Amino acid sequence: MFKLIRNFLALESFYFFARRIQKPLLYFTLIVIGIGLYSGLFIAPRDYQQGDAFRIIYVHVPAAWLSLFVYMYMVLAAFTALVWKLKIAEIGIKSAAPIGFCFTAIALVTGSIWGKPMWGTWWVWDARLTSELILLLIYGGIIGIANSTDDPRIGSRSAAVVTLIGAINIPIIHYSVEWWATLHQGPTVSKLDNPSIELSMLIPLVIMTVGFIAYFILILMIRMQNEIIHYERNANWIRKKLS
Amino acid sequence: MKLFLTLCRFELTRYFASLTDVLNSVAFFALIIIISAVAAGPTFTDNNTLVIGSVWTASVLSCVLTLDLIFNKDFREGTVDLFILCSVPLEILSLAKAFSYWLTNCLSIILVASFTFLLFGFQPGLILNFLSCISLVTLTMSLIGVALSALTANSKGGTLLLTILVFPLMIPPVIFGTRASLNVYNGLDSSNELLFLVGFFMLLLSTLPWASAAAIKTRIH
Amino acid sequence: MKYNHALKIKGLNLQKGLKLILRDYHLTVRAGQAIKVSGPNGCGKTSLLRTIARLNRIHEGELLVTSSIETRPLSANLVNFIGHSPSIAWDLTIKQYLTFYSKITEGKVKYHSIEETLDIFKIRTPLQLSKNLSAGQKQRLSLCKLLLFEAPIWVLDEPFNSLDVESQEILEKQIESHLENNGIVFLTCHQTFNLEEKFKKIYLEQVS
Repeated sequence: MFKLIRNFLALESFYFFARRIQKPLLYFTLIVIGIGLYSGLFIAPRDYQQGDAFRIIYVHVPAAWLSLFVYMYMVLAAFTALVWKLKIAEIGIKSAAPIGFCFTAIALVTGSIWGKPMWGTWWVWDARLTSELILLLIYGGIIGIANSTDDPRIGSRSAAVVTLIGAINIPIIHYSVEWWATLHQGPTVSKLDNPSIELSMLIPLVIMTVGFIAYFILILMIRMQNEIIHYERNANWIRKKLS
Repeated sequence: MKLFLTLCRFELTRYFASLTDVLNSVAFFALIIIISAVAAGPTFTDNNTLVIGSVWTASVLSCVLTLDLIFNKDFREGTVDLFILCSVPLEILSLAKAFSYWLTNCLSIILVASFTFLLFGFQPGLILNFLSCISLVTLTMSLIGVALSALTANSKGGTLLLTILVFPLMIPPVIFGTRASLNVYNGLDSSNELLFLVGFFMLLLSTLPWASAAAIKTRIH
Repeated sequence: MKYNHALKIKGLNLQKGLKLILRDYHLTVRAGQAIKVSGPNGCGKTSLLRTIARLNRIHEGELLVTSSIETRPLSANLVNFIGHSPSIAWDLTIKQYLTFYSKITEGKVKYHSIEETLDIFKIRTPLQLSKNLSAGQKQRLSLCKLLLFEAPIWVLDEPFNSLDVESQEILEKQIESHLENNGIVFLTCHQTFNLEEKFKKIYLEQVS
């Protein structure tokens, strides 16, 4: 069974797998995000307090969830790259880091845009926002390290080490900032997800999240194909493909 | 243990060959304090919270200043190859490097910072508490610095990367350290914060040397 | 006859960055044999030597050492490696550096003492700082590491670089006595040297 997985994860077979699922995945992503956006922007009812401005939540919350999801994927890939030394895992980290960076940036920007009309400030130093900012910096550092050496394998493995160091620290950072922030501001900072959110508002959120995950996988596949070609540029199967 | 001491002695010899790097951090510390005092205006010394914050900021930033130089010489001169060939356990090397960095750069800053607190007229209780907190925080930062320097030394844009990556990792100790000083200043108890600092240091002590070793092996290919 | 170790390279895939230089490489080196690796610049001679010295990671393949008793994987304490760049610490004096080297080396048997080694390589100023040495002196200091500890396999990457005629002869004498003790020597060199007839030649082709 492990042999099957290993054969699948070999660069050549993974490349062709990625090519095959690219088109169906593209259509799936477009459809799901389309449905999510439509239901979020038009179908979901207006919020009692916030009016129509709250609808940015349908981009902001999935982006924030995805930023963490991509990081968890990267932790898994980092572990695989360092322990089992699979090349596909190294390629995975290098490809996923910019996507995670973008999602985090989107989450921060949409959060600020939401915050201004709602609570009057662009930025506030509470646990969640500060942790997202730190996550942005960690992604930036990972991208920097992955591209810092001439040998891409060394760069990816260094990025894997940084990912794992960050993984230990992110929960600690989150809780220490939370502890620090509540001392300053008290419980008036509202949290992003109300525990009793109404179903008609929840469904577009879930749809958008699924769409974003599909988008992440799509872009990941495209980027990984590029990296695979770069890694294997002297191999025979690439030559056959290009001729 | 003997190996640890030999490596520490080796590192300290190299640091003392270029003593000006050590004094660099102290000068930077003084610079930040002076600039903070000037920028905040004549009411700087009245607002004790501001003073505590500035001294903490200055100490932490001065320690971070030379972190990227930790592994610079080793990768440039090829001594990393030497360590691997002699089967030196890279974890012990990382600990030795962190400890010698702390002894040379951070200890001087700790002393100068405590002296600054004395100058500004804070009570000895606060200064003692500050000594223990800043020691723990700088020890933690030396460990983090060794791991990140192993990853980024001598590579393209290494200094910038180190700065970006140090920032997230040192936020928890800095938060709790400053909180401890402020609590003691306000007459409250600060044992919780100290506990966290010790715990965080222990956590990093048990994980970062192995991360540094992995990073060195990765760089050497 | 001091050593009786033979080296066997099995199925080695040598990679330099993303390029594959050697695929499924096999080589058996008997005790007392000397090998010279040659080829154009950038063909991977240093990478091969570093892999044998256990500095570079092996992705595929094995390096085995057979002594009279058993066969085991090659460990770092059986190899003395002198690299292309002398890995000396510039801020230490010559004596401090060699003392440090002898203290951190593990698993090897002591051979000559530091004073004897300095004498053999004719280094007469042990208290001079390493950064003030000339290129030839740095190379001689680096070569001292060969004589401080015993190891059956010597891996030398361009050891004759920067050496004057006298030092070259000293090094050749040391290599000769090591071969007489049945040790193995791997070497790369761009110049001709006197012992060249004893060396079996391996040629690495230019990678396209």
